[in-house]
This record gives sequence, structure tokens and C-alpha cells, in this order.
Amino acid sequence: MNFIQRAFRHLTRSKTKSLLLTLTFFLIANFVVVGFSISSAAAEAKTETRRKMNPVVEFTMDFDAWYEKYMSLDQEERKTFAYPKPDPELVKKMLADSRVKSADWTRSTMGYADGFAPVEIQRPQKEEDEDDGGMFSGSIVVSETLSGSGQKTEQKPNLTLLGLLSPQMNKLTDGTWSLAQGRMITQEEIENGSPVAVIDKRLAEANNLSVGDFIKIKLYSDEEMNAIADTQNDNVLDLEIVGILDSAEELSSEELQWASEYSHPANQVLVPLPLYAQRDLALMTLFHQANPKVMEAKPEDYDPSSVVFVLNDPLEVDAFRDQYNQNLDEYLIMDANDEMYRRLSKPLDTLTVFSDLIVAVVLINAVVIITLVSALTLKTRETEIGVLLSIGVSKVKIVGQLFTELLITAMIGFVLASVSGSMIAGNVGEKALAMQVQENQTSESAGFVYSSSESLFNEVSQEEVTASYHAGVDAGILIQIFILGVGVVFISTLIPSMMVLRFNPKKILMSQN
Amino acid sequence: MLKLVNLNYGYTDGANRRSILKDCSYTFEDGRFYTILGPSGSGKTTLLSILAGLDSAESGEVWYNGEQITANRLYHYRRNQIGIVFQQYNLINYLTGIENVELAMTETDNAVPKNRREIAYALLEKVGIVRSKAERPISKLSGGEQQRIAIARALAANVDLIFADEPTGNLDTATEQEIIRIFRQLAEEFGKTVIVVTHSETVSQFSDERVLLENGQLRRLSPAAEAITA
Repeated sequence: MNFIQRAFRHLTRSKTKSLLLTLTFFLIANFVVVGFSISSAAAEAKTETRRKMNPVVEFTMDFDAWYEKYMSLDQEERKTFAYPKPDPELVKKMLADSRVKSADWTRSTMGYADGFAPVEIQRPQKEEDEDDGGMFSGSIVVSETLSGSGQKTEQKPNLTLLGLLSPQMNKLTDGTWSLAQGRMITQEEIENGSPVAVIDKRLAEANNLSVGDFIKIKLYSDEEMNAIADTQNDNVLDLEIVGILDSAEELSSEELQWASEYSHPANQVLVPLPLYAQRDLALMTLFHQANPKVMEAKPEDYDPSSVVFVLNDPLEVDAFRDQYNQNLDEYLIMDANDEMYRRLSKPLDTLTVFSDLIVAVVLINAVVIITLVSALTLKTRETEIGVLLSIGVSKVKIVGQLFTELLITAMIGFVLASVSGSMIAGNVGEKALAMQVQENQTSESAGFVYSSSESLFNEVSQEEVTASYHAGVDAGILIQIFILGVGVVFISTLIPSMMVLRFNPKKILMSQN
Repeated sequence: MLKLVNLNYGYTDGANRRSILKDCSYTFEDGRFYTILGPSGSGKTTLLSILAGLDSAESGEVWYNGEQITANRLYHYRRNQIGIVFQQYNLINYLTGIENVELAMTETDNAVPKNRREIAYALLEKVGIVRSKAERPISKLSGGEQQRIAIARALAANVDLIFADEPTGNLDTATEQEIIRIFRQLAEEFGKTVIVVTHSETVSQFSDERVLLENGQLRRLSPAAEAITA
């Protein structure tokens, strides 16, 4: 009869004691199960929240910190205290990260179509009637560009040049854009500043352009270029069309009211950023020389101020953000729509803190109670232990028996509690969450959250988060509970074990005589 | 053969040092029934504890069958070479009689046949416990029955050396006689060495050799047992 069999017999034949011990474990386990279930459900709901959010991470400025620093500077220092920008080397490293699906690492500027017509904005009739020919009038720009009449009408930019530093663009991977013809600009062309462009299909059709054709785009208006008249040719980018994009992007009806032509999605021309950056830098230097009031440009001025990454998996967002946040300029942070996530998660976090606290307190109490019960029980079992020692049973086996007895009662208590605890957790957890959500909604002011990539961050409602909260017991929780149960039993056996180690069979058995 | 060589043992009672054993030497031969007698407080129980490996002497040696019983061999000695019977029986109360006997069989390293339960029943029968009683909880048995089970347990590990500490102290005369008969049978028929600490003249009269513990030393008394049995 080994110590495990002895443990079973002791439990089955000391029924009242075993029942009380099982009941103690059952009560303790109920608290632990409820705590774990609530905590686990909260973690699951947070994961679900993150899953519902687009896997977007972007660089953003820590404006409060930057402004605080700015205000502490004197006038002269403020002139050179620029907005922070992501380090290009870091961005390249991030782009090479396998978690990144695509990224917009771009910088845009306006340009002037030279020898072709931008797509006109079809404004509502009412608006056209009321058009006073002001600064956003697209039709004027078109007619002037094409006619070359030389009228002294102010020339307006009518194209957006989207300078790329990476061809892995988000709109291409999410399906907003597709290549109707040709190909995308390559990384090599970007790095070499090659004179190539990808244009919108509507712009191509309006001007009967196709892949292999060339278009000219001016960076500055003729009026602006008068200041440096002898360098007219440097103002014109002569670009080969290598690809034509099919895009369904349109201006919204609201945007149609006020948008100027260059903001029409069809008038967006993709070019390598270094191409126009080099040209613009040269022109800006000339402008500065001609007029010192024009600020002198520097190569880093053309670095994009933001990069928007789309990751493959929403659940990798936090790790990705945290990893790269460590290497940033002190005024830059990586944002993963964290403000909304924090706001949505707050009730869940509060719930988690409370449930974890309950689990911790209960476990500490459990260890103390079970240790005391075991130690007191041991006193009544001195003779038994003395007898076992007298027949040569090792103290390790005796401790093993005590451990097994506690473990069996703990497991029975925990198994029963996993059923009852699950039911309690469902009710308690949902009520507690509802209270927390209510508390959160009344205490949280609906502040404005700035986001530079509002089109990529999506909204998730508190109701969606609450709906994804389901407290219950799953295999993971059961394993956790049983591991903890073993831990509690193990710690609770330590002190009684030390007592057993000090037992002397002679004193126990012979002193009675 | 169990041999004691110059055993010393004592304890401090306040400022006084009290010696229980003083250069105590003695040899117990195999297959004999010994009783150790002595006045109260003479150290009989302490001596038995040392002989049974429940305690160690301050100095001196205990040898059994040519091997010295050192402190690190006590567990092995208790598990494989001796059996002990206590005045209070000291059975494990949540086990039945038969399970108490089986327990000793499980723990020993000695060769024990696989049909332990049958062997245990046979041992219990030898000491007068029938199957129906062997399967009862300990609390349902009389003192005499419990002591018989304790004797069966002491024998269960197939040991040759049986110690008993006042084994009949709580028993009536009839049962005492029965226990004495068992001890004699163990020595005579099965070649076991039985060493019993007792106050009982009745028990000592039936032993092969009566040994007196006095002034910390063991001394053989007159061979009363031989005279009685002759």
C-alpha cells in the first residue's frame, strides 16, 4: 500500500474531515474561478476590440511635449526647432518587418499640368451658378492651361504630386487602387529619382494617355517662376507613364462644394519623392537667392512627416507599436488608434484589476487557511506518522501522502467550482462590466482625438466591445486554476512538511507508555 | 545476533545530568524470547528505542547480524530488519486490520510474495484474528485484537527481530497469556528473536532469558523461564 493509496483511504474513511476540506477548497476555488473568468473574458474582449480595429500604426507627433519644449525656447531657438519626423533608416527597417503588410511613406505637393488637362470637378449645378470664379475654380485652370492664351489670370495648381519613398502603398493592398495598365513605380526608381509616374485611369482617358506616353508637370506657376526666369526648364518634370491606376475614389458631395481641382483623386500623380524633392530643393535655393525672405530649403525638409503602416494581423499591432516606440525621437510616438482603444478598454481594465485583486487576496488567504488546517490536522495524526516512521516509511513519502490528500480534495473542490464558478462569473462579470461601462461613459468626456490618417483608423463602439465580453470557464482557465490549485497545495504543505521532518518516532510512540 | 557495545545515553534535567545507559553491553542470541525488566525510570523504553532504531545512543555501537546500525541506516533497519509492538497498539486507525498488516509488507525491501493479502490473512490467523475481524475498522476491535494485529504487522515484513514495549500492559490476563503464547511460538517455531520490555512478572516468567536493566547496565537474571518450562 503506497502513500497514494493511503491518501485515498484516509480521505474516504475520514469523511467529515475530507468533506470540510473539500468545501473549503470549493469556496476558495469559486472566487478564483470567478476572478479568472472575469479577467480572461476582459482580456478576450480587449483582444476582440483590437481585432475589430484596423491594424494601422502611424507616426504621430506628441504635440503636448513638443509644444511644452517649444514654449521653453527663446525666439532664436524656436526658428530651428522643427516638427519631428520619423528617421528614414528606422522607417526602412520597419518596412522590412514581416508584420507590415503595406505602408504609406509619402509626401505630397501640388503641381501644374503642362500640355494636358486635369479631370474637372463636376460641381453641382447650383454651386456652379453661384461660382464667383474664386481661387478654387477648377474650370479656369483647365482652360488656361490648355489655351496658353497668356491672359493674366492667376494660375492655380491642378494636380497633386504624391512623392513615394516606398511602393508598398496601403491603397494598393487594400484594393482601393488596382493597376489597370502597366506597373507600379519600383523601389529602385524611387531611390534613383527616375522620371516616371503612375496616373489615374480617368486622367489617362481624359487625355488619351497610356503607358509609355510622357507628360509634363510644372512644380511652380509661371508667375512664381518669373523670379528666376532663366531656369524655366528646371520647373518642368518630364515623366514617363509606367502605370495607370484604376480607382473608385471620388470626392464626397460635401467636398465637391469647396474642393479645388488638385484634390480630385483622379488628378493625383504618383512619382518618386526624390525626383521632385531634388528639383524642388534646387528651385527653392534659387528662390531664396532671389529673395532672402523665402526660407531656405534643406534636404530633410522633404522627408515625410508621417508614415502609416498597415499590418497583417490586428493582434500584432500592440507589440509592433511598443517595439518601435522605444527608438523614436522624444516628440514622436507611434499611434495605433490608442486613444479609442484605451477609452473602449477602460471598463475592461478596471474589471481586470478588481478580479486580479480578488484572485490574489483569495489565494493568499487560501494558503494561510489550508496551511493552518493542515498544521492543526497534523497534530491529530502524530501517532499515525510515528507508526509510519517506526516501520521505516521515509519522511518524504509521509509528506507525499499529506500533499496527495490535499491535492485530491483541492481538485474535487476546484472541479465543482469550475461549474458553479462559471455560472457565477457569467452573472457577476456582465453586471460588473455594465456598471463599469456606465461609469466610464459618465466620467469620460468625449474629447477630440486627432488622427492624421482618419481614413485608415476605424470606429468601434462600446456596445461592440461589451457584446464580445463573455465570462465563462474554458480549458485555458481550467488549466490555470488547476496549476494554481497545485501551487496552493504545495505551499500549504510546506509548513506541515517541516513539522513532519522534525517528528521523532520515539517521542511520539514511546512517551505514551 | 543483536549486540550492544558500550552504549551510553543520558539527558539533562535542569542543572542535573542523568545517565540512562552507562557503557551498556549485551548480546541477544537469535531465536530466543527475552524480557527486559527493571524499575520505573530505569531506561527500559529508551533502551528499546535504541535497539529498535527509533533513537540513537550518544556513544557506543549496536550491531545486528554483523552490521553496525548507524544513524544513516536507521530507516533501512526499521523497514527490513525489525518489527515493533507497542503498548498502545499504534495501529493506523483509518485502515482495517488487514491493511495495517499489508502496509508493513509494502514498505519493506525484503522479499514478500505477491499474494500479500493472503499472506497477511495467514499471519493474522496465526495470531488469532479471523478474516471477518481482519476487515473491520480498527476502532471496532478490542484491545487484545488490536495487539494481535500489531504483532502480525511486526511480523509482516518478514523480519527476524521483534521488539515489544509493554505489549500486555493494557490487556486482561487471558489475553496476556495468549500474547505470551504467540511470542514463545515466534521464538521457538519461527526462530525469531523476541525482545520484550515489561513490568509483568507473568510475561517474564515465560521468556527464555530475563534481563535486568539496572544502573544503566543490562544483567542476565536467573534462567527462570527454563526452570518453569522444564
